[in-house]
Amino acid sequence: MKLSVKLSLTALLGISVLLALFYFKSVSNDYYTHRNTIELALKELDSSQQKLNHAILTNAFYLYTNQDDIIYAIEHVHTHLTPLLENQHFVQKHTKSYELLLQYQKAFETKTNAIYDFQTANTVIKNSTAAIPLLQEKLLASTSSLTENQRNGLRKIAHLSGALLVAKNAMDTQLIESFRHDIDSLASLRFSTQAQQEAFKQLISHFNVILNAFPNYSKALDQINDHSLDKFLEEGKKSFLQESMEELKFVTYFSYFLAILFIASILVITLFLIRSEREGRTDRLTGLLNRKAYEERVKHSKADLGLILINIRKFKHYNDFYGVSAGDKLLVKTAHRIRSIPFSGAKPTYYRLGADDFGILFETSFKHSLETLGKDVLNEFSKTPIVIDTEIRTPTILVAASDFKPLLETADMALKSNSHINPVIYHEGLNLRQVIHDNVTKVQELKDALNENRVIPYFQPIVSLSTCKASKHEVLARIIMKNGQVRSIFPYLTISKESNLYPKITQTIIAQSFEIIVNHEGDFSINLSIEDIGNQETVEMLEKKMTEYPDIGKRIIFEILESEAIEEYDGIVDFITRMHRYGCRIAIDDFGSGYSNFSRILNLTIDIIKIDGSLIRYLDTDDKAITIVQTIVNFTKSASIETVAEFVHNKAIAHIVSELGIDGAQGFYFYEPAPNPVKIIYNPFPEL
Amino acid sequence: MHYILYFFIIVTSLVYAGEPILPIPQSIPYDASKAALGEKLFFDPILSRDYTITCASCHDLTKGGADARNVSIGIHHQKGSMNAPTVLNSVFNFAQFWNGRAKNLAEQALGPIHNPVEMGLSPKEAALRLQSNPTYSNAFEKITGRRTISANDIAVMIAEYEKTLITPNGKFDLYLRGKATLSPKELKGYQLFKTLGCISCHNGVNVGGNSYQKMGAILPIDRNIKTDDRYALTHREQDKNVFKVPTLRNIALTAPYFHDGSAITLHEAIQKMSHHNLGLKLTEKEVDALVTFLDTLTGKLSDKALRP
Repeated sequence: MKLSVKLSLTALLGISVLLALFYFKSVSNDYYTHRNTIELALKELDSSQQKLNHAILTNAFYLYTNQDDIIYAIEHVHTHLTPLLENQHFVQKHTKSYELLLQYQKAFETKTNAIYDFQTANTVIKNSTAAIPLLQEKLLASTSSLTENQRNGLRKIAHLSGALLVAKNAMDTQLIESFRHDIDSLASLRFSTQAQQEAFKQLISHFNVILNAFPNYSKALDQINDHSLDKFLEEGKKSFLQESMEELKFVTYFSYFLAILFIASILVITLFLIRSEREGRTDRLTGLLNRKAYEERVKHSKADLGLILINIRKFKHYNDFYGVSAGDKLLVKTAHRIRSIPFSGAKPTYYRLGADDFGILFETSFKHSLETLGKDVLNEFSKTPIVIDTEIRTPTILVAASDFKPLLETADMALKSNSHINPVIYHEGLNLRQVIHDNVTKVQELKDALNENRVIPYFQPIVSLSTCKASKHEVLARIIMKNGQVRSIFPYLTISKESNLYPKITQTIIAQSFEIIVNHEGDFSINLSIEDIGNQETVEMLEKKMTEYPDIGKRIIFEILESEAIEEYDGIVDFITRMHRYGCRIAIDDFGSGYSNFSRILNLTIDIIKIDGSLIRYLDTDDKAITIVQTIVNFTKSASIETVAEFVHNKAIAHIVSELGIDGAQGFYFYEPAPNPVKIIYNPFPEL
Repeated sequence: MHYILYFFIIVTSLVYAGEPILPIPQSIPYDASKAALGEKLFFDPILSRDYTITCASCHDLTKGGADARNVSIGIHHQKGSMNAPTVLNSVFNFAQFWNGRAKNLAEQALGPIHNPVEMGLSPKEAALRLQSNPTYSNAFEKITGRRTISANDIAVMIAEYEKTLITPNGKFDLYLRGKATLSPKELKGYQLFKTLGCISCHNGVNVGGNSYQKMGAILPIDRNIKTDDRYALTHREQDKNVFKVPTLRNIALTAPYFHDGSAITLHEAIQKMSHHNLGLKLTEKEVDALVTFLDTLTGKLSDKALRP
């Protein structure tokens, strides 16, 4: 999975957790806010209802009452009921409770009207009940004697007054109605004074008013006491509670979901972390652990470790030859093979440590020696071949083993030690660190020598075998050590190429030797490597010298190594052409050391061939060498190419080369290299 | 809003527990900017069809918040069927109009404007008329935040103004607060007011205005078929001649009396009331004492004493 995909997935999860969290917060907040509001309103409704009932009771009982209490209690119910019925959350989410509350509202409307009716009837009844004794008193106030009829009437009135009060307090509608006949029977009664008569009439009216108002009064009270109102409220409360529990369920489940989502995101992130960590320690191609994993293991391991380093020999060549994909296949198969090597009990871990380097790390408490383990590895490869694209392509592998720290460095030193042992086990003697140290010292020595002009040309004369005169000199580079010792430049050449000092050597030799050449007769041959020919600065310098001393070109020979002439053919052709223009000649050095293609060499328009020392050295003992040299000479003669023999170190060889018809010879038999050319050209070897 | 009002009254009723009449609070909360606009509307004939009648035409604050006619006169000199009830302290009534057909002042306010014999302007027309008046449309917009004016907006402003029309600090209220003493005659009147049973209907902060009662509960009176009684709303036999009990606050200033203005003087009203609704004949002395008591119910509007 791509990093960007992982990141966006993680971000997506994070955002969804965050969103869910916000949603949860808002949902639970809403839930509790709404629930509190509604519950409070329902509670208030209940208490308002109580207050209202109390106010009604007070009004029914007491004579002087403030009926504002009733009105306020009614309004109080409305102030809590109206907002509740307009609460959108309540209307939409609590449909059942809402329905019940609507019914409650309707019932309350009925109750309110009943209360108004109660007020109307109650007032009249209360007033009349109070007025009756007052009027009775007026009837009795007369001083005139009463008739029998009147007395009976008064008695009846007294009885009715008491009975009405009892019946009213008993709320007995039927009993009150039963008085109607008695009251009607009083209608015929007459009193003597006008005041009495008026009071009597008013009394009868009051009786009738009570009689007529009572049914309304009792009906209104019945309606007020109707329990359906309380029932609706109770049911509304219950259903609200139930609906709230349902709602709460959602909140609870959502919180579970949130927790799961949260854990899931942490798991996903952890998974990604583990995977990327693992990917970071694994080699993509072979599936083995990588260098990073190796270093961590080595760093954190408490046990003593050993390392077996396995290198596929000439893997680069394999890659170039078969192609990269085949190369990859080889790496995979090799990795597979390495992994299958049994290292039982050694807790081995397998790594790919470089392009073609594999490693097996193990605990050295393991009973077998490093040597045995290394052989096991080699055996594993020789036992069964590795087949790629139906061809057997078992790689040649080099095995090195080490239990010296740092493991990888020491094993690598062993691998590169060039000892021809396989497996090679590291020991202190293989310490390449010394080599590295030596290299650094050499670079410093060379640098110092160059700066202090201690790199100088030496000259070795080449004797013409026909005249026995030293007609040519080969220019050689020498380094003069600080203690005055003169050394060959050869040990410094490799490191000079690594440290970019090489062109300077050539240039200083050219500069110095030209100074000398100008003042001496004869030809001079200068060694040039392919690096020199490819170095523009060096070539320009040569051309400059040629122009500076116009006649010198004819006396200059450039020696090019046979191996380089063949390998870098194209680069050299141009150089040869340019130098021919100045009259310079070209010599092929160490001819016969490789497998030269004669015709190819011919095409380079060569002037001189210097036969390799390895052929010349054994001419006096090796017949085959004579045959080869003879062949070379025959071939050059036909191509008009001059020949020179190197390493002529004794008289016998000098004789043979002369016999073979070689044109010139150099070697310790004749002259050793010296700081200056041989001044007087004479014939010191007349016997040849 | 109502809630605060009740809170006031419940607190006062606790303080003056025992007495069935409560003093009027010194002030009740209201929105000053709405009330100011309501006041302007209250005195502006723009709300009547022919620009002749204002609210104050019938609810004259110098005449106890009512008018001196037995029934009010509207546009084109048309006579109504009911005596104008006082606007003073109307905020304390449990319902508005004689038969309580409006639950509150805002509901009531549009009634007379719309009534063809009063101001004769439909709510829609009234709203449009004010909207085309730049002064009003700007004033309304400042409060409602809308360019358009609704009939309800008008009602709300007027109702808000009417909340300011309360008359605290009458002599009787001061007596209730322990800040004044009543004369023996006034005290006698108050005693009679209670013992005779007047208090049964006229109680509470508004000395009435908290229940419906029958005109002629004991001895019936004739019913005018055009009268707007409870029957006109409910069509129940028992609701014939049933009206909202009117307030007795400032009663000395609001003659003539009753729903039809049939009692010219307070004296006459008391006698009629005691006859028909208490079933009692009062002596002159008793009536005098009651009148003296009722005089103490005259309060102060914006700290100014009200006079006949």
